[in-house]
Amino acid sequence: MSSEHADHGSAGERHEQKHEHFVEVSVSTTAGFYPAEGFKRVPVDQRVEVDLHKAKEELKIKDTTGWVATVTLPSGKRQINIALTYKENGLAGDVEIDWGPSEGGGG
Amino acid sequence: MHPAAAKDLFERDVASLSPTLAQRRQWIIHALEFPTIDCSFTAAARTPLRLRFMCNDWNDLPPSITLHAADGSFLMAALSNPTGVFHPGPHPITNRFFICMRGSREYHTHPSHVSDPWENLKGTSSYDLGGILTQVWRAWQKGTG
Repeated sequence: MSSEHADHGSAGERHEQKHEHFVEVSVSTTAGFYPAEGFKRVPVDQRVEVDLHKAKEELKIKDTTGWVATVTLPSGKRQINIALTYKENGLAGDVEIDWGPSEGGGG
Repeated sequence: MHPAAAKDLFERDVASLSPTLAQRRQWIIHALEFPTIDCSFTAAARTPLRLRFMCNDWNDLPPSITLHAADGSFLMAALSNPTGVFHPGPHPITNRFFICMRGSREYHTHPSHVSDPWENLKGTSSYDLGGILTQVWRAWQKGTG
């Protein structure tokens, strides 16, 4: 076995490791999607709010005060902390974020 | 609001309520034609909730929202209500179950909330038609049954 294989694994494994450093993100809102189609590849160590800010700009959303971001996982729907990174939120692979106002308070 | 202006504003608001969004949120959009939004919320192990937004005079007035069973009949039993949004009693004007939440016409015309005017909310992103629909959806997601 060559030293390259011994130290770094196969080309396929290196490809997989590279993918582990990124997530594929799509943000859905009632003003539209960011990106408009498909997913955007971003570093897994990037804070979620960075992409939400870009979504707000691109979709021309005036005010997002009180909005919450949720993801749907096999275990169910979960609110994420947008001040944390994707990795810190335990997210990997394709990440579909639903972003919008939280439930209204009842009277 | 002039009916033509209300229709224009309605159509701008609902333009992004796309089939893709409905698929992601597990909504069934039955109709999106001025002045009506007819939409069902669905989820695994839940009984669907169908809502009709009547948006005449949008956005001088907030939408009047009625609650329905999947077949379109008016809801006859109170919903699970952990957030207080799905009022367990009848509205004094409509005599039906109603959405007791800022952004619904029934809330703003209820004697308990007439001091909380729609004027303070209209035009904000959380209170366009998609924003109000989202808020009701999230309240429904907190419930059971």
